Amino acid sequence: MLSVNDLSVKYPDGNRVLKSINFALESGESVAVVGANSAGKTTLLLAVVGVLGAETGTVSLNGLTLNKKNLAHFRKIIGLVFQNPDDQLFMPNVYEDVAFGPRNLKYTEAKTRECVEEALSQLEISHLSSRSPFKLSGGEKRLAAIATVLSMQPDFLLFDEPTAYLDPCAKRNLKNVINGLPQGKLIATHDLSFAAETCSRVIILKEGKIIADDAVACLKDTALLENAGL
Amino acid sequence: MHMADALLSPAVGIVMGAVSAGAIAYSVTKVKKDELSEKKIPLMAVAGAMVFAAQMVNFTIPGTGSSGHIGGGILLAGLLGGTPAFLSISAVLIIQCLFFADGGLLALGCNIFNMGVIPCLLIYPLLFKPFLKKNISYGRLSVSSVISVVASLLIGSFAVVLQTLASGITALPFGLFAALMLPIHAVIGLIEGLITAGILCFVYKMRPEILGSARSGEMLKSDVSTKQIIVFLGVAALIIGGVGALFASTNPDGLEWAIAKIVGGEGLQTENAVQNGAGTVQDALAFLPDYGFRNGENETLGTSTAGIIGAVCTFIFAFVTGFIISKAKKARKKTDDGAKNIASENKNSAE
Amino acid sequence: MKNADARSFLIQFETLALGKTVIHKLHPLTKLMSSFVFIIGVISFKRYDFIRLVPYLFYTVIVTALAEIPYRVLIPKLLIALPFCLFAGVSNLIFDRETALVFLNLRISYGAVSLFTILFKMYLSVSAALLLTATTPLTELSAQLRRLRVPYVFVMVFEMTFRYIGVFLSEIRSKNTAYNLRNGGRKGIRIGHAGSFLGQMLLHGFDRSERVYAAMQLRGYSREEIPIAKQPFRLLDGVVLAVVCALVIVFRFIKIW
Repeated sequence: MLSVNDLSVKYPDGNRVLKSINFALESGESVAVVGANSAGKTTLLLAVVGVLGAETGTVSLNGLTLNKKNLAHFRKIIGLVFQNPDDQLFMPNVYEDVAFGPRNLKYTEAKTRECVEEALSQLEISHLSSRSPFKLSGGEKRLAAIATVLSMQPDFLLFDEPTAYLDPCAKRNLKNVINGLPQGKLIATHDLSFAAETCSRVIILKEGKIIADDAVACLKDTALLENAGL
Repeated sequence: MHMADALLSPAVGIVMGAVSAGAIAYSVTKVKKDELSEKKIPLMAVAGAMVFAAQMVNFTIPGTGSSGHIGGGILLAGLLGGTPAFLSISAVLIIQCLFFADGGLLALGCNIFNMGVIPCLLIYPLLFKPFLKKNISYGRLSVSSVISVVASLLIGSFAVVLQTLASGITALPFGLFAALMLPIHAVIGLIEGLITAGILCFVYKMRPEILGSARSGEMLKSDVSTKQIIVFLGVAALIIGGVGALFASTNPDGLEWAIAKIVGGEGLQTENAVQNGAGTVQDALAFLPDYGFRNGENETLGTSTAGIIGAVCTFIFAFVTGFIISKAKKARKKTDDGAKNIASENKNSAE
Repeated sequence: MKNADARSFLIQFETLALGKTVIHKLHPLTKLMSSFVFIIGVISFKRYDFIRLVPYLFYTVIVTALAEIPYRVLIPKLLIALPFCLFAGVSNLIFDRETALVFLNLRISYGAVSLFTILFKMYLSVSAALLLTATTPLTELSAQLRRLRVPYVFVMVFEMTFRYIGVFLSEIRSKNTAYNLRNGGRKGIRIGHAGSFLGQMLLHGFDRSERVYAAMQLRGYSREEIPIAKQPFRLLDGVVLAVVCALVIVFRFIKIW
């Protein structure tokens, strides 16, 4: 179980972006984090994996609290898929990129290959293996970015605006892919229909605070959504 | 300014290759030593790629009908600091050579030296930074950008002249070659300098801390000063030699003599010996053709060209020595940095 | 070079490098060393050695053929190296007028011979380098560089620069178009706008590089070097390399004409 307790994050310029966030994510559960632009969605994801330091509060995984020493462990268990795949795909071809994580985990080359092939075939993109990200379509890039994280065999996946840059067809495909992944998922998005189709629970963020944490049906509550700026 | 393989002799290519490889190794050890600048790996790549792409953009100068594009060295050095910028430029030059046929494989050493070492490791620490030592202002930033870019291009194009002539491929007399190359590059440098100044001022206005950190990141360690003095002397010698040569016509005898004296011992000579038997050094080194002897005779100029080559070699020697020393030092210390401070490394970029 | 050319070059090379020919299957070390030896051989010839260079043509032609590289891909790239070579070559034509030989009543000067030599050398050396990249995927090339002890940091910068060139070429192209559409029919970007035009992009680049760094760290990147996998060096690789070296040397020193 991944839990976030009383988490606040402040930027160096003094702007407090997250204010006392509390929630928990069971393994295998899918939760959407929705909110307007600059509600703090990305910040929340980055804080959970320790890229941003918390001002107060903790993040813990099965009772273990995130600190500098277990950072590597946290990042193996929790995978983050960035909003822009071009930020995440930094190697010259898809295979090398997906292999980057396992190699850093000191896997042998054979084990690395196994992880990469498994991740690629799970997402049905094995044929992209030797392609360069330069030539991939938006949808293919998104899947490749997910593969780079899957190859580290995480228990939890965090997605930042997974539907950005996707056409409707790629979006449908992505929905099926995400629904087929067994991991616990936290999906930050402002695409409400996508949230409704992939998640069972919704956390609504407004100006860095949680204003609702409820079953997915609450997305039909127009007053609540308007209040959140959606 | 990209040199091609076809204009090079193997000896020049290999010597310059060794110098540039040394400069890369030196810069890598320097970057590795400093955790903050290792964080710059993606920055080096992103900035280098951007400069490559930005070179495709043509900027027009209103009312003149002329246009120019950005150069890379000083701009990158201003943004990233000298050694990271050098690595970034080197990567770009290798890619240009391999994928865009811009500059040859054997000519890489020359190109990395002319467009990387000169702006990033010489001009940046010796001209650009001293200007901004006390404080940064738009005026200082602009002046130092323009001067540094012009100086880099002048010295760089002068190095092209020397490398080409030393390879013995062209029949262009030295003085004429230099007189063609230098003024053109002075003008190009002026335009590139103005563009560089515009960009650096813009970055300074929006994100002053970027220029600040590039500046301070480089100002470490006490042993820098001696190195700087040696390098400064090398550059001064080059400039003085170059200016002298600009007003001179050629003296092939002098140049030939100088090369024979300095590099004659290795590559050129032995290779030739195999080919034609011993005693044909003269032939191998005849990088100016026979008619050259008939044309220009100005006794004093021989010393000037010899002076330049001497200066270049002294510089190379100094640089190699510096590299060997720092390498030896590194081997002794072998500092393994312990746990890294991730939290402090990560300012954010979210939202 | 134009943006569109650069983009098409990148795409062409990436497609070519995925080929499955005999040349593609050779060990990257073999290809790297052969290219170097070949180019050194080519450029070691003197200014008037045009004739003796000719046997070297076999190398580029055979490799181009075996690797199935179309000439329409190679030739535009040769043109990029042309201007400076032409400049040096034509100056020889002007300064080096002594007659070298008379052929069918046509006086050919030493300058002309050296011009041909330069252009021929250019063709040989540029093709050799291009053939290397057209038959070796970048990842194999950089793996080989690491096996040759090129520092990991530098190889990383090299690979990532290559990766982001594609991204920024696209970005620059749209920015350029956006500017030109509002430029009132004038050509090019005014120099006064250079600061904000490229400065904006550089600032985004800085932000992007921080995100990339985060992405690297999240997947376990640390300052430690990761050992690089070996690629078996087969008998064929050794034989090819030996043959290339031997032929380069033989034709360098033995006069057959």
